[in-house]
Amino acid sequence: MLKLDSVCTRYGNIYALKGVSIHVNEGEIVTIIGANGAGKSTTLNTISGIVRSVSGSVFFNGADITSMPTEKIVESGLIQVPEGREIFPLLTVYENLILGAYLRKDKAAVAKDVEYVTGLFPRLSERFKQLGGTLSGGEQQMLAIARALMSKPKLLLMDEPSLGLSPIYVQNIFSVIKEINKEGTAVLLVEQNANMALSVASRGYVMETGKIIMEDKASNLLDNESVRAAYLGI
Amino acid sequence: METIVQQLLNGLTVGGIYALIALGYTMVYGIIKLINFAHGDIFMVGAFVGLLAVNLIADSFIVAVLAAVVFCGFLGIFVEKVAYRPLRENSPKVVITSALGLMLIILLAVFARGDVAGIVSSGTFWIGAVLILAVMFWLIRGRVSGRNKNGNSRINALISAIGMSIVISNMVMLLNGPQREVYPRLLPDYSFSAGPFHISALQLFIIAVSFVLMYLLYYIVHKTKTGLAMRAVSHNLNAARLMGINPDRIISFTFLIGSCLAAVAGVLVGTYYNIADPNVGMMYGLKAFVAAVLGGIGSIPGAVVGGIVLGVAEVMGVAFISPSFRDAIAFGILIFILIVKPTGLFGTKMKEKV
Repeated sequence: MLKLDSVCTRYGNIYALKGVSIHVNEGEIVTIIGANGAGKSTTLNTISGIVRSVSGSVFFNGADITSMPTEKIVESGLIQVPEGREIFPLLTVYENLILGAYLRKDKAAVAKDVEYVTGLFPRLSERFKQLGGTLSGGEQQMLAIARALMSKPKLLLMDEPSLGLSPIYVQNIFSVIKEINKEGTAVLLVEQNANMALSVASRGYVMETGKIIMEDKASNLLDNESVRAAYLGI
Repeated sequence: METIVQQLLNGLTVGGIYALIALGYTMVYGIIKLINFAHGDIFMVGAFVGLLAVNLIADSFIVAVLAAVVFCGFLGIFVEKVAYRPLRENSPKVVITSALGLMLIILLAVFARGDVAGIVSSGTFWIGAVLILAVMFWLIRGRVSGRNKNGNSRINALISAIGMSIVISNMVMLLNGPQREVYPRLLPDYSFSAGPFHISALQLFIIAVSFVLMYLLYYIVHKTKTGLAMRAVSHNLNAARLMGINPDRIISFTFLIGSCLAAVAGVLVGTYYNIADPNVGMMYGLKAFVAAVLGGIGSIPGAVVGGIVLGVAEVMGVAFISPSFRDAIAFGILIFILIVKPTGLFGTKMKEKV
């Protein structure tokens, strides 16, 4: 459903992506692992149209979205949970969730989905009226994911959901990712926590300095000697 | 004591009007971090459009307000599209649109006056136009040479704003002439006495209208989805886009609301002082700007409180010190607040992301 064809992106004169080609199929969890600065976040931001590619193309469900404005890309069901959460700190938890459903007109269904996402993250329902900025890091990450789900995504792009979280929250978040996927949403997951990411994903890409250097089933990558040495710390 | 209460009422009237204008400054600043110096001129245009409507259609306050609100609403959106959006988007296509927009204004002026010489001889008009175009060209040059990708865009926008302000005020002077016009009393003005106080119905009306509009604004910003989107864009533009919000549409909407409030203020001031003056935009604009800074720029309740405090302070100063201190008080407050509490009464410290 998502296809990147030799995408190049640059910041000034430095190329962050040097011809990245990846794809995500319907119903899959796909992960991109790699070190800091490999270009993982840039890949997601290029897909969402926050940064623009200089060459190559991005297709989503057959449509060319390479130069579409971000809000149109979002409208087509491609939703990003950005790195560092990027929740709205001065809006309440509830308002954050409602913003996730900004493009939806079906009020009754939106109210139902608020119940659904707070069912996934019960912590959030206790904090409905609290400002987003007063939540803990883990709760903010939950809010960011819940907010993205409010838009009824077809494909969810997740940028480092485990960043800075305690192990319990990481477990919690990853089990929710699996749950979301079971409900039929495809996920493209960017992670530094390669072990965790590969254990939930069906396929994985390994990225290094702007290039995809390896692509395989997640289970094979977990067994791969060089991946184990470089990214799993074993 | 009686004088104080009497002056308090006068101060509230003036303050309510400052607050209405200050809201436009503060909302636009909240969303795109720009001081829209053309805002005061939109207020002045509101007064003149109201006057025109009264002369053409009917001698009625409602007619004047409606005409002013509709015209200034469009003018606000137009100003944003022509003078600020090109600087944000930084692409040659929009710069050309903007240049064409300005040519259109000039052509309109030529047709309206049927007098080319009059336009050409208006030096300040050209200064304004040239200022805006200079910024645009500088931008294109910067693009071509690869420098100045986004840097200085806030300064560019500020200069563009000053240019726009000059263009609008000169536009009105070209069409109307530089002289003041007598404004009809659109509202019955009678005063009644309550004990030792003389209360003017017009003043009460102005205060009431100001507060109703402020409540309306509060309602839009805090209770509607568009208002929620406005707050989201002002907090984090990129995250707002990831929610599917089109920031350009929200920014246009912000200019629309701010300009409509200024238009109402324009008609109110015209009715209150019985005068419409094409030169007054800059001064009222600056005063309202002081009010916005006093309250904490970017803060909506701040603009309301700032406007009222400024209005009362000014009137008290006039009554108890000297009428010639009127402007000095406003700008004295500005200097004082910038030294003592630069974030203003309700402002919060900006967290700069590293």
